[in-house]
Amino acid sequence: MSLLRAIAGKARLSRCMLRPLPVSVNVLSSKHDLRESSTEESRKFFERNKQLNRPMSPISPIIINPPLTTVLSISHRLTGLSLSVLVYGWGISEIYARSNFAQQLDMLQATFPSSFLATIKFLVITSFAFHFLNGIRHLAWDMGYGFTLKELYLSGYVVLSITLIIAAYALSSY
Amino acid sequence: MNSMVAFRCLHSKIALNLAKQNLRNVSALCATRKAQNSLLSKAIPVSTILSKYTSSDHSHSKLWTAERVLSAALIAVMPASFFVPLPAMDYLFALSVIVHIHWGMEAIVVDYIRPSVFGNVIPKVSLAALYLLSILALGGLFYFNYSDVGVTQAIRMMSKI
Amino acid sequence: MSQTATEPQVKERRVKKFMVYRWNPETPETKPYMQTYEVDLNACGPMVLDALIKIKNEIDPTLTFRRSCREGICGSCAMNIGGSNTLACLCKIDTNLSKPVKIYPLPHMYVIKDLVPDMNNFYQQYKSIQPYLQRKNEGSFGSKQLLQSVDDRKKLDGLYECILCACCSTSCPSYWWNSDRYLGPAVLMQAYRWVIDSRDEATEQRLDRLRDPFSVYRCHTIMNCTKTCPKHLNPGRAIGELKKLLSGWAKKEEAELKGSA
Repeated sequence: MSLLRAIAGKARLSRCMLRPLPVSVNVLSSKHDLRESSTEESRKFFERNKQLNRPMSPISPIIINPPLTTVLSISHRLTGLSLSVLVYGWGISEIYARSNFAQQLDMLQATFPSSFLATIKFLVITSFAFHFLNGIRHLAWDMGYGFTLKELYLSGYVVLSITLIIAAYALSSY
Repeated sequence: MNSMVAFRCLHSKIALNLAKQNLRNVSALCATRKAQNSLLSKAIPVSTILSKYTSSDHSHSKLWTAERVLSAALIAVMPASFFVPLPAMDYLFALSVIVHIHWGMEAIVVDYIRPSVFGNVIPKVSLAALYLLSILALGGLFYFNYSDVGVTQAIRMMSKI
Repeated sequence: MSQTATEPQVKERRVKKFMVYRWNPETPETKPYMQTYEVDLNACGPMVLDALIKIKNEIDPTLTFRRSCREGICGSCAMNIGGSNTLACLCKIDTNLSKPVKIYPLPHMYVIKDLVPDMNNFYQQYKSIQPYLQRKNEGSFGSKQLLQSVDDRKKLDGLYECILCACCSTSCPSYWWNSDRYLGPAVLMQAYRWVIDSRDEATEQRLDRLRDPFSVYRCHTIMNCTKTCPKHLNPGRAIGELKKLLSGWAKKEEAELKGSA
């Protein structure tokens, strides 16, 4: 009886040792461990390449003849940036304003030629129109719509067309 | 009986080898675990507004959602503030626009002013400068709303130039 | 018997110019330059890779580039041809003889030699997303098949076919500026591929690893990736879905078939 028990016991033990050590979810998935080791690898990659003095391949082939995707995206950023500079400039200047707004406008019209002001107005209206329409396109993407190549180009051309129509209307500012 | 003993000997030899192998595996795993834990003990900086972008440890998903919600809200807030000429709408409009601009500019600063090109100090300083500018601009527009015609009326006046 | 030998038909040569980016690590002081080769298209296969191999065989053996399968499945010959990132073995030579073909390595990558970029960072980023199935229970793997319904398998179409050629990631300006911390469209599409696999049970951990400001959120939906993919896949859409999952706007659906058999 004891022999049988001994064999059974040993068999159980052997079975435990025969089971392969599993790669479970929890051992490898610690966020910090993985991020630290991959940041380390990334650092080594950049250091080694800097040491070897390797050149960086040029981006000019893409930016010299950019696809529509690039053009619309950088325009969205540039129009946003220029409108932001205007708004922040206006907001911060109002802290130091000595006169009311009507007087400030009169001062503007006295200082700058009307053609210059009309150009600024035209650019602001066109930039805002493009940024607004492309912004709606962005929100559609964020909801998951319009990602196929066809839809990308179609929505892009629609945004450009409406912007041109609004720009044509804005020309009346001259 | 002899064959039984032989069988048990062989069985234990196999078991012993497997045990040795498993032990090697476990100790290797422990070693990596130790190494990983020691990396873990190199503390990632404490959370502040600025280290939000300089340490890659913060959850950005809530900010992303807030950006989209605000952008969608702006589509409604902008015409609404023109159709409903209340002072409260002026403040809402100014606040929404400034926050939208701030988040957009933050993305630009984080994208381009990178530690790999500008070192460790300049990115942090740029972010701080952006926060300062946003607060000033918000203050300026709020002051304008309070003491002058308000932003919606100002835009109407500018469109008539 | 006199025979007038018939003149062999000499086809008019169709000569196309190929301008190729060159840099030799053995003469590192020489800056990278463009070298022009002339190839008779009548004696060359239709794809740019055919021309490159012909140049290497017959004109300049020092021209260095990666290639293997010549059928668009291995991803080795990814390079920038005529302004877009694509596979040389799938890119037809433009037969307009008045314009040269300009061939560059994948943009904003460290150059090892000529058209060969250092891909190690890209591979490391792929490794970091743990591109393998992860299950919760620690049973013995491989003894039973894990069940997956037809519809759940359909969700992987358009994702699993990625050959990791890196055309998309190297067309992304965000990846150009931040390749140390932003993972790039190729790796993110694979991260999404494992997140929505119905058999994978590590979804929460996978998504948590992507929540920081850089891994995913340097993507501003520029969409160069989808435009340039030579396998006509859509990494931009995959990243969009990933952002929806991260924000909680979308949730991974329950697997239609669970368990194993």
